[in-house]
Amino acid sequence: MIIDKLSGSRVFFEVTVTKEQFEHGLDHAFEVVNKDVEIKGFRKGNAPRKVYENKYGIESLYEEAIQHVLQDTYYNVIVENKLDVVAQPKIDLDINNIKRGEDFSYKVTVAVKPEVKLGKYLGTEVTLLKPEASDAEVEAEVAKKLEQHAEMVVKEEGSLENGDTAVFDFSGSVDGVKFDGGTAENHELVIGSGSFIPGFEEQMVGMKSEETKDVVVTFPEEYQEKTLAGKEAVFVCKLHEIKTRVIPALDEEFITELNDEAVKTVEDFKNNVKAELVSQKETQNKNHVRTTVIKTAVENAEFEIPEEMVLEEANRSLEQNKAQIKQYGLDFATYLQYMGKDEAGFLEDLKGQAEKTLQEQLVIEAVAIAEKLEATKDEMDVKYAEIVEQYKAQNVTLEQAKQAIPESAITAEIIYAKAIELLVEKAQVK
Amino acid sequence: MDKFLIVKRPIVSEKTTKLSEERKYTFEVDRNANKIQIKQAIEELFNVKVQKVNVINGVAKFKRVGQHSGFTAKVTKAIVTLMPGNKIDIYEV
Repeated sequence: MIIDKLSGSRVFFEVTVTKEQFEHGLDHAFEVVNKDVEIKGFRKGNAPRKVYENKYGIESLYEEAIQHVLQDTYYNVIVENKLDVVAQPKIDLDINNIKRGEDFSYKVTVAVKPEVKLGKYLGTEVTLLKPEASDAEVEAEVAKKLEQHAEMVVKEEGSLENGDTAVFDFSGSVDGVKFDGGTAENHELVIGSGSFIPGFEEQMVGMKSEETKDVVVTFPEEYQEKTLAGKEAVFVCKLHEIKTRVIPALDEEFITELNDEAVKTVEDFKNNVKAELVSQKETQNKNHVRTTVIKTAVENAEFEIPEEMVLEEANRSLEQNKAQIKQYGLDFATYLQYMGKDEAGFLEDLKGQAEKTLQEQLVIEAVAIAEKLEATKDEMDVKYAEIVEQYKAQNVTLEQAKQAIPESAITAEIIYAKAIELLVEKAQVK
Repeated sequence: MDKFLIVKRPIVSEKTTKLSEERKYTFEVDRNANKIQIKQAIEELFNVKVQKVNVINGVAKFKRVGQHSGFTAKVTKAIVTLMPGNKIDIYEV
């Protein structure tokens, strides 16, 4: 068997099917096809081969026979040559050329798992953020936290300012005629948010509670309601309430209100925030090291991922996505619309992701092989125990877990994790 | 009587396929033909030696379709046993 290596991690080979193999395929095809055939005088599936062939002709068996023969011979080649196929093969075969009692051959092009030539992957230099928090950062974080505790307070006196929320009735008319959607009661509007027609919010600034004012604005030319575009409108507004956001000050009162046992004083609060920031940065650092080492290893390695492999991975994740969306009770089409994409665009995105995932997987696997990493029995037992723990609610026993997940998968997972660990360990952290 | 008129068609079904393994072949034949005539017709048509002929005289069944009633056609079947060593390929008739 001659197997040609093509670019892009593909292989090409030609397989010959002997007439005996094809005859066998026909026998198999008849068995399969005949199951669903009803011929008068015979019960379903009980017609003899001769009667069947008289009625439908031997050619009707070809398709099934070819399929069976191809599968058989193709699979043989794969196993014999230990090819690591990663995508559906492309088979070149002219069905019209096939004749009973003659050998025929077909050509196969198929993507195989790419060989990875590793570059430098140990001792990657990684620069880390300092796990410290400056006073300024702490201050900013504290301010953010205070902001979260802001409350809306009704302003009894004073006038409407930018940033306040106005509760008001309005009724608008064009040329003295009221129009649809131009009237509302107790409408809440944040002044300065720009959600109303330009000029409207500005004119409201300075109004006092219970004040009535006519706001005159011109609809913009490109307003979505064609009948109103470019027209001048008068809105009669009656302001009921002015609400304003009050950010609490960082003092004893605020701390008491928090009602947190660990936080007793303002100092405690600040220290807490600081510790949070530091731990945040530490996790960030950990992730940063991980992503950097993997990225460098991928960049230094040489390999070609076949397009089919990426496509297959992308399609798989597309199916996953679809299933997930369905679980949320959404329609896939609606989801796409919501995201502003079509299916092709969505798949394109997934392809990018898939390529990256595959790159990482292949390189890490190659690292594991290069470093001769192995999983011990103990480690596998630990892993199985973890799985059992995870599915405790479903009462999964150790035996069930072992049955459901083959050892090879567990081994692969452990080795994978070990390889990443190794990369991280050997990284030169600055 | 003409041999082509005596033997009308072979009857191909699960049962007759099974019988053909014992050199017994089933045909639909003319109602007025006797066993001797059938034997001669088969021998001439297929160039074989016939051992014996068994005849089944079908009964006309009463059928009705809505208001109309009537009888199905009466069918006579002949099971022809051949002498050992003889064979008919009934699927090619």
